[in-house]
Amino acid sequence: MRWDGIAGAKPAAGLLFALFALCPVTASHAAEAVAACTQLSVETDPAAVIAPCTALLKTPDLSAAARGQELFIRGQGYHHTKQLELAQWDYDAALKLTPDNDAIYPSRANVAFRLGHFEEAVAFLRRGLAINPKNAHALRMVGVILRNMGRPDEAIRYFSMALDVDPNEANALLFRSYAFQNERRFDLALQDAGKLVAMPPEKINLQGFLDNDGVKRDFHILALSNRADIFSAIGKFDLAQRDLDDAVNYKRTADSLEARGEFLMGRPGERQRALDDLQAATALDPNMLQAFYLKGAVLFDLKRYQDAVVALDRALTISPNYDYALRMRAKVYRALGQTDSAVRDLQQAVVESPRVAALTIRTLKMSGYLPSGEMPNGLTPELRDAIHACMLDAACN
Amino acid sequence: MRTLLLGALAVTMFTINSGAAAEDSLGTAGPLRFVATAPCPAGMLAQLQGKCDPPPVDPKLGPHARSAAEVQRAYKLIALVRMKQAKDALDAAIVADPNNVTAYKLRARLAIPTALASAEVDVNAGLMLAPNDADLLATRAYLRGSKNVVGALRDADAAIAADPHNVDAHWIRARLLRSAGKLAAAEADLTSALTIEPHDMQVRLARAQLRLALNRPADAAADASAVLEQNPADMFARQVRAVVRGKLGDLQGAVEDLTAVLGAPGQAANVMPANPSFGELYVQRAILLARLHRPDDAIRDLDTVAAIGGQRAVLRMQVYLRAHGYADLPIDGKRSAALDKAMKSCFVDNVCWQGLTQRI
Repeated sequence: MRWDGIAGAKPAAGLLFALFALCPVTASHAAEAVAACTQLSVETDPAAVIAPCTALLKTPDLSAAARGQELFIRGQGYHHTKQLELAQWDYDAALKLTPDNDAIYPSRANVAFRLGHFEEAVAFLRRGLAINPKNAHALRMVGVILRNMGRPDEAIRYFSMALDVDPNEANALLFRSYAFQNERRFDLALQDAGKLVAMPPEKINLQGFLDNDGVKRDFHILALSNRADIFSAIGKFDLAQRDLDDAVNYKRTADSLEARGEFLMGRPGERQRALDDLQAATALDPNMLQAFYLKGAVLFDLKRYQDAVVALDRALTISPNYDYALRMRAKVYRALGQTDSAVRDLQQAVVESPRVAALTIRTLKMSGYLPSGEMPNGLTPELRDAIHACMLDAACN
Repeated sequence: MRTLLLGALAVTMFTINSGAAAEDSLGTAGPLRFVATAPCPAGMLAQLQGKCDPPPVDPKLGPHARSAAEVQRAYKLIALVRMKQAKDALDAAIVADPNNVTAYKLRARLAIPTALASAEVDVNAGLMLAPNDADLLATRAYLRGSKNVVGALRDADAAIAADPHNVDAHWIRARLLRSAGKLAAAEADLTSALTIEPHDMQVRLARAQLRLALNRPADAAADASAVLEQNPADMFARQVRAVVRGKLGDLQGAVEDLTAVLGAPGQAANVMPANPSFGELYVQRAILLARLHRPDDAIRDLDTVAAIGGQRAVLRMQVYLRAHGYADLPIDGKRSAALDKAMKSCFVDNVCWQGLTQRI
């Protein structure tokens, strides 16, 4: 399971993915009378801080520093419950009161990324690092940006800088592990992955991780599934299986079941077990996009096409533009002989997703439906015709 | 003759992806070379039945010796074209000794081209044990090439740094450089490979194709002819030379070379038109034949494409024709009188000639 958008079967999130890890625990609130408005509470139950922080903020004689801190905490409460505009307002108000609090800037940048304001986000990171060049959260976020820009060596350097400041910065370890994997430096990736797995779940989960959709994920499960991915890449399938079993045994959740189901999909003779896990994952979490997509893929492999359509319909209800689900549903429709629906889905996926466009164009060229030397500029009539032909040709994959 | 460049593209794709010609060694990396075969004295049927298989490895051997013996057994099985059994032997070799780098390397080789993900897993496993193994690095470069050229080039550079005399690493890097548009650097790698192994015909053929792309037909012809001198039946060298002849205006010579690949027009085909590479060659020859005032033969080639190329060939033709002035043709994968008429009009009567050249 990879939540950074590198693995193929994840919703496209452009440059935004992986910037969404939550900020680390950096402070605790001293006012015992309003203990729920604390940094610790943000990490354990972000929704619960909003009311007490709001109450505290009504106190007339609150100092600027204290008010700034309460706004920052409440902002995180909004942030971690997907109320981004409210989070933005609180962060901005906090920054006016406490502009030298460098911890606020990465969180504000995070919201900006989520809202699609890339340049603004980068500006916030710059300001945070200008105040404190050793802000691990900001350094890690810069690393992710660099990685997304195709500069892996610099990204790794920034992740390492973040880890120099805070060796237990779990997100930096996770992203550096991902980066090492992409660079095929599996020994180093395993080192970082091992450190993550070794962190006690109750501690690593204080640091938190938001996925592409803003949903907080269990970091220990993420750590185990990340290490399982590495073990799989180097052929240590028994160790990968053990990690994923550990994840399910630790918490039988949609996350852990989805991760194990995805792994089992790739193992010989394990499709039914994969399907069982994915069925269980979707039953536990009816909004788990990735599990529905994978379930559709397994059902397609099992030639249960109508069931596959149902699973993929659900994925596309959750995320109507999920490119891989559209592409997979197109293949299912093709298998069912519903050419028009297949063409419609694949065209939509190609239009909306550069990665599916690239994959599809490569397939169309390999199949001879597009000239090898040409790159279509948009959904041209030639590309439409080529897609149509492909959706009549079961071997066009 | 610009039209035959399309053939050049087809040749390039096919040869680089297939590793067609048999060399007498396994090679070191990637899928280029095939294994020398060792015929079974009892005959082909006996060979397929496993009657010439080497005996099982002595289970009493220690783990390392048993693993090494399984690898040797795998080599023999490969020579007998008993690939599944060879893979089983390699599985056993790895179970006996999970640190047997050669076993991982060979199993990865066997997985190319049908199971690339599995091949890369084995390459990664081998590189965990031997990080500077040039063969493994080069193989991974090959495997990563279509997904991550930058990473693949990094692996290829590391392979050549680890072993500058690794021919396969040179051709693999040449392939990557070519896909990155660095044709001169790619040619330099192929020339380096030929300096190391002057008789490597696959590398020479790859250089012929590259020289065509560099618009140096005479140099390309020299390489292609060198291959044909050694093996007159090499169909890929024939294709390259056909393209060269076409570029030099020798239409008749180009037709002769294509005929050596495809067979005479209307006769039983040597190759399947459904394959995009070969389908293009039939169309190219049809165009050449039309220009040589042999319309009946041209029509025969087009008929071959439509008649025995299957649904895919018909679909490809429909897509092509719709893009070149025949927008009313349906896309349904079915041959029809309208399709035949459009093909004749386009290719024999030269109505969509411009479209074809644009496509090139």
